Amino acid sequence: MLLSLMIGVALVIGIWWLFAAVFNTTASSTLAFPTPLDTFDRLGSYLFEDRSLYGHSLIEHVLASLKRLVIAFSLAAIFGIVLGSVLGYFTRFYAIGMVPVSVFQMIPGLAWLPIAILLFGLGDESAVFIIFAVSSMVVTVGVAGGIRMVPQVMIRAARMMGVGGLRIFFTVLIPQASVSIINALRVGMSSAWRVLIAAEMVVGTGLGIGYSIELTRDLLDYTGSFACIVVICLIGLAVDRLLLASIERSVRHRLGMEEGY
Amino acid sequence: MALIELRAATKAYYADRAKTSARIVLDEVDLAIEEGEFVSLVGPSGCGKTVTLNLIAGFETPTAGEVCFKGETIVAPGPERGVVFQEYSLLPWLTVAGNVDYALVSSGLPKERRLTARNEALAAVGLAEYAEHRPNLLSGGMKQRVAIARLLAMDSEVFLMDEPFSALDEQTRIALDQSLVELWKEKRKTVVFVTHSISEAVLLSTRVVLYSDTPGRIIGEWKIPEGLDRSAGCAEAEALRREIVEALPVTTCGF
Repeated sequence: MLLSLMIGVALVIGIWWLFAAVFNTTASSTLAFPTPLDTFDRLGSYLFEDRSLYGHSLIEHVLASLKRLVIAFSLAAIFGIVLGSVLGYFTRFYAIGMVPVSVFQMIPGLAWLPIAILLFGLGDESAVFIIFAVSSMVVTVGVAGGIRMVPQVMIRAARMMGVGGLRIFFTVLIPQASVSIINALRVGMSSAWRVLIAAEMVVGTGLGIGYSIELTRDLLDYTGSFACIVVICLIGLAVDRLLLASIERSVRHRLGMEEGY
Repeated sequence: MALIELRAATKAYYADRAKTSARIVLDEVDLAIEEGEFVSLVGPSGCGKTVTLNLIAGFETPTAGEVCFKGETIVAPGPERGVVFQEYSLLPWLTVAGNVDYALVSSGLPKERRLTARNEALAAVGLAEYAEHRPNLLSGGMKQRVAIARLLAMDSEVFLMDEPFSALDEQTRIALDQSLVELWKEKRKTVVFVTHSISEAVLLSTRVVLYSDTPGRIIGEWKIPEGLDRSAGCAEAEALRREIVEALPVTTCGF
């Protein structure tokens, strides 16, 4: 497990390093392609030497981004779970409801920008809105699919035992679909994280990790940009691997979906 | 009046998405089942045995005709008509005891009564010591025993069993057939048992009902005296088996 993770990371860094070395010796560009060493060195100075990233510490940028993510994704998760459950449970609504959901899902994250600006103007709310718009649809589709995949025999068995519709929903459908629901949240979270960075780069939030990339790029400080990108990868991986994956494992276990104990 | 009555029960499904044509799976079937009978439905696959069971269970409604339980038209499933499904239908996150308890949540019985009912049901299927196990630790045969325990706990009047042992290995199936007969002799519940195995039907039932190939009609019925010796060497049971096999319709599909 750990070994394969380390080999994988080493592979990424190796390819990156090789590419940077080839680029820097052959390309005619006056700007250097940041190597992993430059990047991690810069990252270290942001983190441990109080080097500021345009008036704010890296931590402040990260926290600002995480705050937007938490707000937007919480709303998206609630919205997606409720709407997805309704669409998944009522077959009649599913056929109709999936039409707008699919339409909205077709809109790429940044294409929400005009609507966001129109509704909320530049700044935080627009970023939150864009993240919400993208990830809520992802969660909805996943949750509805999970509910619909519950075997008919489970529902029939419950009905035969005299269990009512609402109780079937909470005691059969939701638990049976919970692994799918968590997966929907995982996919939703990763799309939220990706669109958050993009949104920050365009809606002028003034603070945030995506905004930092935009700034460093404008100032041709590519090493700074790379340091921010590394931070994004690390946080994204940590949230998915450490938080959501372990939630999924524990749910799988509690649901008795694995062999043995 | 019979406990369960099908009067010209017909079930048709649309054969295509445009709903322009229909396929009849059950064609004006008349069947009356008395209280305490053990009726096996046999016939080629796709002949409407399971549909008959689903109609009695209330999972589906007939396209035409009528299906009654105690003289009243069946409109929905209910605990008085318990079902053992071919697929495993236990909730994997509940223990064996929890699964049986779940069958009683809507019963309105007081807690002590439910507890007694659960323990008696688990004892009756020989799973008392597995009460705290989760289904993923049980063999297929044990899972189906739990499914039977649910019906015992609910005190269902009819046991509707849809090829309950067909996914099990031969040895387990023989053991479960034996337990089922003993259980039936003790409790005298009405059983409607769907199977594709004629020997299983002869072994278990007091009546065997044979269905035709699609569209399903009843083409033969055999009453079996309860005292009949059904062990392997018995000539009378053997003759009966052969008679039913010979009456089996030649399937149009397949070969």
